[in-house]
This record gives sequence, C-alpha cells and structure tokens, in this order.
Amino acid sequence: MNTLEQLLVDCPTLFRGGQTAAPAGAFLSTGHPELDALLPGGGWPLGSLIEVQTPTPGLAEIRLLLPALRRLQRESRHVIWTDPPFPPYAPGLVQAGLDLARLLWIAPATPADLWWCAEKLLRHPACGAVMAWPARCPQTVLRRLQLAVEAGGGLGIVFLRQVAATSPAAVRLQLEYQGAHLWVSVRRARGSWKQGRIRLGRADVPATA
Amino acid sequence: MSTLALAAPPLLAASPPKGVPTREHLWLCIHLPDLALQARSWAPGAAGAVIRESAGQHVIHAVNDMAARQGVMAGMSLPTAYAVCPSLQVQARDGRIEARRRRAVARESLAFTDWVSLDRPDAVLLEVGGSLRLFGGLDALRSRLRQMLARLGLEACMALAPVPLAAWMLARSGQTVCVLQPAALRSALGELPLSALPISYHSMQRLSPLGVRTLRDLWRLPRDALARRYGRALVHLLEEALGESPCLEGRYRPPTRFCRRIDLIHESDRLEVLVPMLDALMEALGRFLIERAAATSRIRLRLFHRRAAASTLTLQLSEPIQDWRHGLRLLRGKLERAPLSAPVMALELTSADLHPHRPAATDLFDGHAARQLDWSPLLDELRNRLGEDALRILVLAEDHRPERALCSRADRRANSPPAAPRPVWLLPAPAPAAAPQWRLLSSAERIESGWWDPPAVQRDYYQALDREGRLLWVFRDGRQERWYVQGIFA
Repeated sequence: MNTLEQLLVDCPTLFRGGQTAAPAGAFLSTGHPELDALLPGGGWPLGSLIEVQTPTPGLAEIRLLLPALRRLQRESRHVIWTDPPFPPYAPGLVQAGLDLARLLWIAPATPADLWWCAEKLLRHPACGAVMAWPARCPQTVLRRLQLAVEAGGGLGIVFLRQVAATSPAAVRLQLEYQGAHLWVSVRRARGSWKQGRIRLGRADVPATA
Repeated sequence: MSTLALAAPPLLAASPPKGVPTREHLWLCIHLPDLALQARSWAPGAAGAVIRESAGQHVIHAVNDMAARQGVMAGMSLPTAYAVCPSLQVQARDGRIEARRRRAVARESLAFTDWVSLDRPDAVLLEVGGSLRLFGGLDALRSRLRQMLARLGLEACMALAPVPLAAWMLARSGQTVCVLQPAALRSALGELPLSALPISYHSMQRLSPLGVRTLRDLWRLPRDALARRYGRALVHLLEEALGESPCLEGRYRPPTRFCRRIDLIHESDRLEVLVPMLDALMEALGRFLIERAAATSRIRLRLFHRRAAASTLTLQLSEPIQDWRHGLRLLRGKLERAPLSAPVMALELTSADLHPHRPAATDLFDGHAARQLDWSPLLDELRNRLGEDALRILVLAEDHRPERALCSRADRRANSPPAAPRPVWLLPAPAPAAAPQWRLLSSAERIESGWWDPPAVQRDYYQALDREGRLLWVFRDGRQERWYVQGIFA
C-alpha cells in the first residue's frame, strides 16, 4: 500500500474526488426520479436546509416539493407555510393531496418573527417541513436554520430570488423556465460533486383536479 | 323504672349492628382546637385571648400558652381575665376568618381524597379508606397531612374511625387514636366524657345527676327509656357514633374558579420583582388544577396600578392544559414583552375556564403519536408571540365563489373540493390584467353563483401560462368583459 492509499485510510477527511461519499442520515424521495438520481442518498436529505432559487414566486416550487410534502404528512408530520407570497388556497391544496389538518399558514409581522418561528418549528420533531419565502436571507440566519432543522429532522425550504455565492444549505437548486419547459438545476448537494439539470415537465400542461 | 331498665337489653349488647359502614370507609378527623386563636395574629410573646359574646357578656373563648400560664382560662368573663392578667391582648372571634382557614384546609385535603367534609364544627373530615394504600399507609398519610397543616400554620389533633361522628368525637377529646374496625368503636369511645357528644349544655346538666360521666355510662342505660326522657335525638346520636345508624356526611365542593391576588409591598415595574410573583401564582394555579383534576384553556393576569387602570394579559390556549409550567413560560414571555404603563401594585391571576383534564394518551409503539405530544404547546407559544391572527388554519368552505371557499366558519365547511382544478395560491383580490399576455391552456369553467348573497359572480375561468412560465388561474368577468388573475398553480 503506498503512502497515498495509507493516507486515504487513515484520514477521514480525505476522499476521492470522483466518488460520492456514502450518504449518512435519512432521505426522502423527491418524487421526481431524475432529481432523485442527481441527489446523493436518492432524495431530499432529512434534517437539512434546501435553498431554491426561483426567478418569480409561483413558478413551480410547489410542484417540485409536493410529493415530499405529501409523504411527510402521511408520517403525521406538519407542513408549515411561513409568509407565502400569496394566501394558500384550501381547495387547491386539497386537490394537490395535502391534508389541511397538518398544514399551517403562518403570517409573521416582521422578518425577525419569521426567523424566530421558523427556527422554533424546525426544531420540533412533529414538524415535517417549513417553507419560507423571504425577501432576503442573511447567511447567519441560514446557518441558524440549518442547526435547527438538524435537531428536528424535518426539511427546511427557503425560496429566494437572489442567492449568495455560498450557503450553509445542504441542497441548492435553481428553478428555471426555458423553452416551454421547467428546469431544475442542482447547483450543490452535500456529499456529491454531481451537478446537473433536469426537466421538471412542460410548463404548458394544464393542472388537473 | 329500674326493673324495666334491667329487662331491656343494654345498648351495647344489642343485636349485631345494623348499619355497619360498608367496606373500608375510614374517616380521619382533623380537629383544629386552636382555630380561633390561630386565625388571628399575635405579637410574639404576648398573652393573648380570643373573646366571644355570651348572654350579653364578653367571655374568654380561647387563650394562648402565655395567657394560660398566667391563669387565664376559657369561660372566664373579660373583667376577671383582665384582673388575672392585666397585659392580656384581646381580639374578638372572627368566624369568617376561621371559616376561610377551615376551607383552606379542606382545599388542601382534596389532594389526599375526594371526599372532604366540613360538616362538623372546628374540624375537617377526610374519607381516607380509599387513599391509605396510595399514600403508603396511615403513618405516611398522617405525616403528610401534618406537613400540610404546618404549611398553613395550624395545629391539629387527628383521629381515625370508621364513622365520621366517632372520629370527630375522638379528635375533639384530644385522643389521637386510630380505630380501624367498627367493632372496636365501643371500647374506644367508652371512656370519652359526656362533653364529647355534640349535645347542649342543658342536656348535659340533666344527665349528670344520674351519675352519667362517660359514654359507657350512657350506653348502660336502656335505650327506650333514654329516648323517652331525653329525646330520640340523643339515642340517634349514640347510634350514629357507633355506626349503627348511617350518617350522611356532606361533601366539600371546591370553587370552580381560580382567583388569587398578590399585593406587592412596594410598587415595582421591574421584571425581577414581578416574575417570582407570577411564578408563585401560577404554581398555585397548578395545584388548584391538580386538586380538581381539571385543565384550563384561558388564564388572565391583571396588573393593578396606583393611578392607571389595571392592565390585563390574557393567555388563550389551543388545548386545555394542566401543566402550569407551560402556561408560566407563555405568560412570562407575554409579561416580558408587555409595556408596563405604570409601576405595579398587585397581581391577580384568574382562570374560570375549567375543563376536565384528559391526559394525553401515549402509545409505547407509536412514534408518530409521541412526536405530536407537545405540538399544540408549540403553537400556543407561536400564537403568543406572533399574535392571534398570525397562525391560520385552512378549511374548505361550501361556496362556489372561489374567494368564499376558504372561510373558516364552521357551519359552511365542505368535505371535498370542487371537481375542477383549483390553484394552490389565491390572490387576496383578483388582479385586473389590462393587456393579457398569456396563453389559455384549458377550456372555460363557468362559475355563476351568489346572486342571493352579493357579490354575485359570473365568470369564465381558464388556466393560462404567462411569459415567465407560471401557470395562472384567470377569469373573464361576464359583466365587465375584463380579464383578471385570481390564482397561481405553482
């Protein structure tokens, strides 16, 4: 065994660039097979923060997350919409397969209140997912949320228009609309070097009840 | 007469007792002999006496040790007492304070049994037959009761008997005995003086010439003769004391509303002063709830100021709670954020909204249920900080008009959404679109409803794709011929 091999064995912080680290922790399928293939562990990593960059609120973020939200609710966990850009609409949510009894809409008055309650909720084990649509999100806040969600074991999802170059989020995605299609780019997923872009579906397919 | 008396069977040897108390009813009597004294406060080391009015005269009712040492005795007239002890401090007897102290004992006693009686004067009776085992036996129970009384600043004499009247008579005579079997009552009560019976002084005077000194003497007399000469009531009393005839003991019902107030010695608006007071009040509320097996969903804290109107903090909980610590955490948070208009003189905590306490059922094997346990306390905490309106629960409502289909009125709840697709987000109000730049993707859905209950709508709904790639829910108003955006499918 040469020195390099020896180092790889001895030193846990060293790994080969080409291989994906064995994922630790629990994962939840995204419900989109192509996206699952791109993410290490084959889905959303539970107990971590997901950052989604959308050019405009309402592009397709709910469509992206819906399968996971439904799964979380089936495990009797709650899904919380903190300060969404528009009021959630009960008939549409029910048609989307969500359980209103495990869905909460919170409208905090100030950003400070928003972060406070997001952190409180993420820490709670009964909380499956907290979604937030802040105008801007400082790094320190993201870091706090990441710590909170690690304690709670749910998913924290932050939708942003503008993202910073670095972020403590475990998964960073970008939603785009291009050529009649919706695209999701994986810009970063913790534990993997893979980057890529998948088609979420055609944008001009009407919704069905 | 005497022959008759001999012929009749003696009272005690009478046929087996008929109304023997069923099962293990055991009555513990807490007799408070010095309640009149202990209800008042005295200067330390002073000779003190409580007086009562008797036949237009002030008579000494009770004396403390210091006064007794100087020769003051109960029953003395006030001038005599002053003659014996010129430095005597005298206070009138206050029945209201005594009753309050007795009720306090009864309230605290509810922690040990659910049947507490205040029927007998100067005493509190507890049915402890059912609780002896729970509290680890008689000795353990008695020592806990003694601790409770010490906390209330009272001294008591405790006796135990299967019959309430017997327990009371024993305790009143200063006999701290425990009679567990009804059969042993006779020997326990026999030596008691006649004065232990709750009979009038006059009746006692009439009995003493017969040479009747103790209860045993009384039992030796024939029952029917006794009834003829001294009234049926006396015989009843004797039967009752032995458990031969049933006696119905009242049940103390505690108040169903909690209200307690603490007055501050100095006015203050500092949290380090107010928070410990709040802690004490909430702890008292917690004890109050446990005693009643109750939970509360609404707690009100009032802060009184000298010159301004009282400020009120109300805590509304989504589920009734019994755990006072949770309520305290929320109320503390409220108090810390509440701007105090003026220094506080007094705090008052009230809670009238009592519900039976239903402990959360926990399943050993169900992790989901365990996770849900403290979900509603968390929501309370959020609601408490963010405000009542910040937390919104969505429900379906029965109305064809889209903007009415999310109201939270319980009477119009629907079970299923409409068949046609609905967006996840609904704009607060339809946004007019001057020059629509979208592509319609679906056929029209006509919604025409509400002519009986304005605003009436007549709209054709479509799904549309806008230039940014969003799937919108748009409609064309049938009357105004204009386009509006109402929702986003996201």
